[in-house]
Amino acid sequence: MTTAPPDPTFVPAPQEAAPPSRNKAVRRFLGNRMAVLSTVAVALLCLLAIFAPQIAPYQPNDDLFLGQRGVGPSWEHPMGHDHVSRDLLSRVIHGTRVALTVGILSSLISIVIGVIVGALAGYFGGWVDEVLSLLIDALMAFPLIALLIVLAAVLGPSLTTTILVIGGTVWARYARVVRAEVMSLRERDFVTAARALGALDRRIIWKHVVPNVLTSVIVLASLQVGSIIILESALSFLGLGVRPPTATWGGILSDGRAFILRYPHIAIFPGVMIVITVLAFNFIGDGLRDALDPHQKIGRSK
Amino acid sequence: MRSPDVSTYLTFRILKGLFVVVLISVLTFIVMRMMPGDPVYLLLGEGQIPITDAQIQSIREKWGLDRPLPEQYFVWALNLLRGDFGESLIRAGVPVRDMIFEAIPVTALLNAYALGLAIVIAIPFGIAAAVRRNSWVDYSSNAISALGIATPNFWLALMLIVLFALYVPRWFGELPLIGRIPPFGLRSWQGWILPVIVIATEEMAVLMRITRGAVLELLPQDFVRTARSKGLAERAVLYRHIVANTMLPVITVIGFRIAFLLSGTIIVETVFALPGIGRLFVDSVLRLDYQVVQSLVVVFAVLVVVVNLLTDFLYALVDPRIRIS
Amino acid sequence: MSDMKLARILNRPLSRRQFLRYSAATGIGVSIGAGTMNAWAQGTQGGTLTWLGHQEVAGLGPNDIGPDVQSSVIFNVLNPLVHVNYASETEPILARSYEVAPDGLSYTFVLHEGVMFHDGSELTAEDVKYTFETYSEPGNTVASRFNGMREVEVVDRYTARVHMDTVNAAFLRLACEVPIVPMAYHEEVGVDGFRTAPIGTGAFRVDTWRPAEFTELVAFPDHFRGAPLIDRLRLEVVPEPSVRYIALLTGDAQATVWPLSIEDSIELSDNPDFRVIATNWNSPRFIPLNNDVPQLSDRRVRQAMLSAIDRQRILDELESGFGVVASSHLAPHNPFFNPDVPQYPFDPERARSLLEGAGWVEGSDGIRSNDGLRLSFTCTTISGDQTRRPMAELSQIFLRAVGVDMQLAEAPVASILQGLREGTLEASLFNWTHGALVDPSPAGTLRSDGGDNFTRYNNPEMDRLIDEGLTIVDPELRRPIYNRTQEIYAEDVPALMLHYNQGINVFSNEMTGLPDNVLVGTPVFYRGNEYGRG
Repeated sequence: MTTAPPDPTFVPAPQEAAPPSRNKAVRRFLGNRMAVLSTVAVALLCLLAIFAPQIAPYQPNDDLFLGQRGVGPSWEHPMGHDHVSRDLLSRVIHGTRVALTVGILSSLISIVIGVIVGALAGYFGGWVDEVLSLLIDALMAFPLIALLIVLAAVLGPSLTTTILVIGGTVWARYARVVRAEVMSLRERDFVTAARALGALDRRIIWKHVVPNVLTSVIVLASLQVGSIIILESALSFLGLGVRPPTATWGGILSDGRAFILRYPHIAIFPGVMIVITVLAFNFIGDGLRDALDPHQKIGRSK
Repeated sequence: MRSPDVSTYLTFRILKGLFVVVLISVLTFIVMRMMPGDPVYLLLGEGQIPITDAQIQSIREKWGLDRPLPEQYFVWALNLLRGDFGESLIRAGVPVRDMIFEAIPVTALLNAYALGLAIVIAIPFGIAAAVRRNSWVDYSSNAISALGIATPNFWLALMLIVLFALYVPRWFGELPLIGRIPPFGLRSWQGWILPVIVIATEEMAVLMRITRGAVLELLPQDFVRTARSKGLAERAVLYRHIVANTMLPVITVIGFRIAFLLSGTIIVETVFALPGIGRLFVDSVLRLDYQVVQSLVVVFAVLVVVVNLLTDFLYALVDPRIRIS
Repeated sequence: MSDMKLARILNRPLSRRQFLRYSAATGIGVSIGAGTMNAWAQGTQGGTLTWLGHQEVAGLGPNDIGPDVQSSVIFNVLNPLVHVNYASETEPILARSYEVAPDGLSYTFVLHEGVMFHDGSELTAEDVKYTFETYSEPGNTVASRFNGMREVEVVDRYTARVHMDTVNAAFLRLACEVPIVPMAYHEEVGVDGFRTAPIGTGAFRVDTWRPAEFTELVAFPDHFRGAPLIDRLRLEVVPEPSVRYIALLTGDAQATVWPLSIEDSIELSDNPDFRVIATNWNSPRFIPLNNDVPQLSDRRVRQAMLSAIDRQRILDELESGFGVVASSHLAPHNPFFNPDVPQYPFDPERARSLLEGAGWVEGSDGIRSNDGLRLSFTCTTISGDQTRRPMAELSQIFLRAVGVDMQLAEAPVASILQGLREGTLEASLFNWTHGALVDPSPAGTLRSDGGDNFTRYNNPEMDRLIDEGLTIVDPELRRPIYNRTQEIYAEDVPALMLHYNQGINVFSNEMTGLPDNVLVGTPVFYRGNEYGRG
């Protein structure tokens, strides 16, 4: 067995002990002030996304304030105007939709693929593992940005493409983590016992292996959502993101790049939103990790 | 680690690595040809002049673009094996190998300096954050790393240029020791300062998180507790055991950065006008400069495979608990 | 503080516009000689001039003269026989004189004597013959510039005569601009070898060439027009427009070949340390529409769309008012420009009635359709094109107001050009030359079988007129033909011509010897031998 380097942004929670009771974990999570605050922030962002048309003061794409190109913040337009003289606040609010949709849906897609591939590779080992690991290695070694450019160019840029492209390429990280964990799980008592009792592999994987891996996956996902939102902005930077004039944070940010000296507010506001969102998801991830990690209190027993 | 095991293992890993490289080269080839667009049109340029089909055809012939795709692949792959990377379509006459090996040092040095700077700052902070968990050190290091990850690097880059190339000399004149920081390029050593800071900010953020996580993992472990119970001073425990063990994440990050080198610094290279590998790569993808993209990807696939191998060995070296089997 | 600055910028356009227009229009007719004398008088000896470009210098050979940034370097290393200069005049360079036969079937060039290449060999008519014959071979980017050429005859050591099979009125402008290479050296290194290590007759030779970083030229003291004033000429590749702007302010560069953002240019025109030269571009910004697409094939639809877009507003909003709204495929400053063509002022009512008349009725979602066909198409702009994409975004809003749905997408240039040439794209938005001085209606762009017929436009009368125009040498006899082509173009509206924008080049006062009567921006950079470093 090879020792795959662990994911750099993630240290998997060891699974030696039985998962902590749910109540304890919830209590521990609620005790973490930053995590709770961040959960509230993410909830607010979700509300903002859902009710964007009701909350935004103007139409994000169609309300033009001619002659107001790049005009800075005012009472009527708290974030000022963009380079096509639209209301920036309305665009940033609508951008929340795309950011969260892309962040959450892409994560779901990559989790599903990553967990399935990782679990299969880790559980069955042998040639299944060899083939799937090869796929994972190849994907990790292949420059993601090239794949993104090409897929976006072939499929044509759109929201769906962006979600599919990101989801279809970042799953390798989940697969790696899950594979490593499943490998250690496979040899554990309850799995061996289930196997001895004649349970089907499929059933063992679903009943015993996957649930034990999920905590790590959830933590990894909460940390990944942020980087996916940033990836969306990188795609927009290259003109391969969601179709204009749809408002996206990444799109507004890269539009603002050309005017960064003259109209700095265009890039600053979506940038601040991205920072807040990434920060919130990271704190939630940390909170979850601490809450679900049984060793914080128990300590490692060998 | 007995030697026969190691050599079998090595052979296996190398074969597997080779297979990955071939797989990637085929993938890249297919994917590049799937890109809509035809590089020949770019060669023909602006439009005052009519273009005939015969002309397009003869350019295709010159570059072998009229041959069947499998043939194109094998011609390219065989040449590559002989060390001939072919010629760039756009910069005709320039060997792709020269283009790649001129660009690599720029990006490599940039990342090396940045990583060095990031290590010096991130590791002490990461350890402090873990040891004083949920204190202001922890929160601020967390916030700083999240800021570092989420701040768009072109924004940081442009702000630094405006500040240090334009306003600082205006307000304060030349800085002592540093002198004049140019807004772009690498004409003087001062040219490295700003791009290195921008990349280091991002790297530092990642490294700080990992160090914190790694130390948190270590703290409750037996050997640390044993060391503590033996009455070793807190400081000594920290230095002797924890710092040594944070080498692991550092190695991981270096490995990860190398895989990321190809596209990781593209934006910084563009803003500071640095002739690095990232800009070469993205420009070549967008211009459909097939030979350059394919060769670049293969060079990097080899690099990634080798680096993965090396990190695994370094792991085993640094942490004897990890066994290679 | 920021409000005050804002007010300053907002209040500026009128005076600035007048200033720029003035600088663009003055000095017509002032001879080139005077400009040159001026340069010699002002210049100081020595030093380095640094210019900024936005994209790499991919090659330095005759095949690379297309893009502005590359030609700014190449024409300081290599020289052509004749050149259309910054004042829009045909200026002989290597040719002491030239003569076009009355029937347009031969051109005779008498070369300056004693012109030295950088390797010490002398320029002769053999080199001219070799250059023309080598670069007219298919497979060369510049090959089609030589259309209609039969052969080059070496009359004597310093006289070359080009014989034509057919008249090509564009020959002097296009073919004679291809720079002359030394035969012996070129034969040795070949086309691809030459573009990486060129040897020419120019005032500078190549010292260092790092395509994506910089190209540094060093003075060639034996240049036939005299040694240049400066020692070195450097072109730096700086892709980010804001960084080019900062580099001018910090003195790291003295001029920018590729324009800054319009706002930055305006800011610098107020700065006494800089000189700003605005020139009108020949190539319009336009939205090529694929005329084969069913919903775009009716010209009434296209006429309606042109009426629906407030083109002056686009200029006001996004270009600070610089530039002129287009009325045909030729720019108003082109001598063949015909003002008496059908006009399409902003008139949404007219647009609506045109669409109604063509059978397009508004559906419940506000988008029109005709027999189940929706009036909807996609306009693909160049990836990351932050200047022109906002124009597409504004046009989209104007079009939706009359019930036309224009979707937006982005793609790299290579795929856009291919998509348009092969008819797989529906529309785009960029600049493209639709006719210069000597070839006011280029076959490549406007003829039904043209390689760059992006609109898939097909009008037999247009085809016939284009062919006819190219066989006539006398400009006055050509005029009626091009008056008519412009009329046809304005009636058919194969593309939505938006405007002719201004190219703004910024020069630091540290660069001395600039000419006064600049009508075309880029050729200013071909005269590195005249500039000094003040």
